[in-house]
This record gives sequence, C-alpha cells and structure tokens, in this order.
Amino acid sequence: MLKIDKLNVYYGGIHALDDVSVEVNTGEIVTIIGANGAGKSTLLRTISGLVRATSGKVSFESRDIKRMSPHQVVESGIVHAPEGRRVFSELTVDQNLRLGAYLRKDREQMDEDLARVFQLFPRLEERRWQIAGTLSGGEQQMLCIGRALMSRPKLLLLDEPSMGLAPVLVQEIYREIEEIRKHTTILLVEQNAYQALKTADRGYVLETGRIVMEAPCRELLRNPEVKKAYLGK
Amino acid sequence: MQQFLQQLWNGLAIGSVYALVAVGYTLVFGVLKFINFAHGSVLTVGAYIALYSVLRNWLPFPLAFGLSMSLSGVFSYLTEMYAYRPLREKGAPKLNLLITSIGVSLLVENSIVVFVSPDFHPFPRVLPSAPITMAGMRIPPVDLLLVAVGLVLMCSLSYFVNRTLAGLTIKAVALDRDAAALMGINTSKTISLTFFLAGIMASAAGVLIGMRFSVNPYLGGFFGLKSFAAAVVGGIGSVPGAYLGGYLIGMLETFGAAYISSNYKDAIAFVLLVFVLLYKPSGLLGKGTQEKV
Repeated sequence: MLKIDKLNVYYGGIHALDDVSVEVNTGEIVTIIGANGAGKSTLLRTISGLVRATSGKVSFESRDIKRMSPHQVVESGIVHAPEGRRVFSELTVDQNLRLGAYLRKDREQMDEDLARVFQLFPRLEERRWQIAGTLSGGEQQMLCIGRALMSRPKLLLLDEPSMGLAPVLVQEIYREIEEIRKHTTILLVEQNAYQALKTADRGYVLETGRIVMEAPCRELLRNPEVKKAYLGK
Repeated sequence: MQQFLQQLWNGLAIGSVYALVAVGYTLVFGVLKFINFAHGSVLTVGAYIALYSVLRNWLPFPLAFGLSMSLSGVFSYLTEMYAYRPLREKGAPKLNLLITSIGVSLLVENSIVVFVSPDFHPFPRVLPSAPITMAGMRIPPVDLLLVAVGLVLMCSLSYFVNRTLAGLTIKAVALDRDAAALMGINTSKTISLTFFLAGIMASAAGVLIGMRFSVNPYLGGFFGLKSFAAAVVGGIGSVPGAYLGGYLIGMLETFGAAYISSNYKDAIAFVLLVFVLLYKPSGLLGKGTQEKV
C-alpha cells in the first residue's frame, strides 16, 4: 500500500532520515519506534508532504506522492494525526470534525462518519459544542484521531498518540486504535515502544535517522537489544 | 446633547471606514502573521475604479461600486500571488514580506500619480447632497450609506468566517497552518481567499470615503495607517477586535475634534495606539500571543 524507498531528508542541516525504507501493507498496523529525535515524526511529515525529501521514493497505491503538497496527499487517502494533537484550539469540537471532513462532498456519508466517530469516542459527542482548547489532553487526542478519521482515510498516520497521557488514558486510546484498525490501515509512531509493539503487527526500529531493525512485533518484543534500549528490561 | 448625538453619528460613519479596512489587516495577519502595508493601496485602487466608472459614464453608481469591490478583491489577491507568495515559497523571513508590502504600496501610490493623475478628484454627485435631518441631527446621505454598507459587509464577513466551511478554513489556517494542510485544506487557496475578502472590504471603504472627501492617490496611505492602528488597538488577528478598534478610533477622533481641538484629530488614533500598546499589548480583544518555538 505504502512504499518508502531509500528516503533521505535533511532538516535544518541535519541528515534526519538516512536511506529509510518502510513498507505498509493493506490491513496492517505497522509501528516505528525509536528515541526522541530519531526521525520518526520527520518520516510522517515527509509522507504527508509537510517536509520535502532530498532523494528516495514514496509511493502510495503505486502512485508517486513524494512531490505532492499536503492537501493532495490527503486527497489520495492518507491522513496524518500529528504529534501534539494540533487541534484547532479556538474552534468547537464540531467545527474541528467538520474541518477533518473538508474534502468530503457527500453530506449524508459525512453524518454517518460523524456518528461513527462519536460511537468510537462518546466523550466527543458530549463535548461537541465545547471549544477544543478547553478539552483535557486525552480528549484532545481523541479529537485529533476523530478529526483524521472524518476524511475516511485508507491509511492513517498516527504520531505519538500516547504522548503526555495518563496510563489509563493510554489504554483507552489503544483500545480505540484496535477498533479503528478493523477498517483502516495504520502507520503508528511511538516512543511508548511497549504499547506500540503490543498493538502493531510489524515494527521498525529507527535510530538517528536509520532503520536498524525490522521484524514482526512479537519478535521485537523478545529481542534482547530492543528490550534493553526501548522496553527498559 | 444635540451636538453629542451629531458627533456620535459622525464617529460611527468614519469608524465604519476604519473598521472595514482594519479587518483586512487582521485577516491577513491571521493567516500570514505579517502586516500587509500594501492593504491601504487596495482602498485607493477601489476608489479610483469607482471614480472613473462613474466619471466616464461607464456604469451607474451601484454597479460601479460592485465592480470596484470585485476588482479590488482581485487586485489584493494578485498582490499576494505575485509579491508575497514567491517570497513565502522561498522561505523568506517575515521582515522581507513586510518590506515588500511597503514597496507595493509605494508602487501603487506613485503609479497613480504618474499614470492616472496626481490631483484630488471630487467624486461625481451620485447621492443627494442635502443632509437628512433626523432627531435634530444633520446626516449627509453618504454617511448613511457608509454606516449601512459597513454593517452589512461586517456582518456578512463574520457570518462567512464563523459559519461556513470555506470561512472556517481561514480560521483553521490562522490557528495552525500545518494542521489545516493535514485536513486536506489547500492553504495557498485559503490565503488567496483571505486577500480577496480583505480587498473587497477595503475597497468598499475606499469608495465611500472618496465620496465623503475626495479621491486622491494618498487616500490609502492616510486611512490605511489609521486603520492599522485600529486593528492593533482591537487586537490584531481578531475580527471583532478590528471592528471595535475601528469604531473606537472613529468615535474618539470625532469627539476629540469637537470637544478638544480639531488640530489633534489625526493624532488621536496614534495616542490611543501608544496607550494600548503600553497597557494591553495584545489589543483590547486580542489573545496574548506566544511565539512558538
């Protein structure tokens, strides 16, 4: 579905991604784990067109998307729920969700999707007319994911959905990710390696811009190096 | 009391002009985070388009007014397209945009002096000039039109920005441009739309102020600067703030001229600006902005 081949990105003079190759197949959850500053977010930002790559290929459903601008990438079916939530803080929950469905033309289906998002995150329905900036961190994360789902992505890019959340909320968000995966392919970036590896099918380990390991998550969870570096065991 | 009401009305009329222009500064600042000093020149261009359409008998006044608004909208859109966008795409610092906008405004002002006329043109009489007497106030018909057009345009703009999806994209881009792009919003289009709307509002003000005083190449420079003060007083980036700032400066100016001295009239806007910047730098309705790291 998504194929990234030998991608190189320079970011403010730093070689942020060095020959990175990643593949995501339809129906999978693939995770990329790595320390702070390893280049995980840069990778997602490059896929969604916010950052330009110097060389390499990014193709989605066999179409080259490397030179597309962000809104064209969304049109092609990839939606990025960015790090730090980035909800429109002065707009209501409802307006945020509507903006998420910006490219949708069919109103009926949009209402259907709104209902689906509210079913997934009942708390967003309770807070529908509230200003997004007044939501708690967990609710903002739900809004960020819900907003991304409103455009019915084929591939969802999730950047650090657990960041800054209490463990109970992390559990909740991940339960919802399990639910989302039934319809949507997911590329998940996480610092919380244990949670990500438990949820995903395959994982990549990114270290200072390079992929150093790629394996099914079951294997990564048992791998002594991964355990030592990322699972704190 | 009579005089008070009269001044109140005058303040409302001139305040409408400042508010209409100020909202353009605020909208553009919202999406691009820079002060478009060429915004005043859109007002001048608008006034000239209406002036010549009527003077040469090309169009009846209402159509000339409409034509001026749409062409000025397009003019504003083109300044963004050809002057600012290339800079933005190269990642130029905000200061370069600012300097460019000053350049654009000088270019427009002087092009009018050279290619059109350096003179002050009275606007042809399209409205009856006899003031209407209402509750003891004498109101020139142009002022009535000014206040009415101002209110209609301001309400329409607020409705558009807050209640329609296309308008919401302006807010979204202003709040977080990257996040807006990730929603599938074409942020370049949204920025173009913003300039277009700002141009429409400014040109309406330009035509009406041209009718009230005269049309001249320096119209935009003069009213633009005061309207900029109004936008900052109200809180740059806030649409209701721009309206409030516009009316406030209009009122203070007319009351100042009536009760203190008309010599200080043009200084009042800037005195108010200095006080607001000293005591509430984010403006009356502005949110405290923090530079994002």
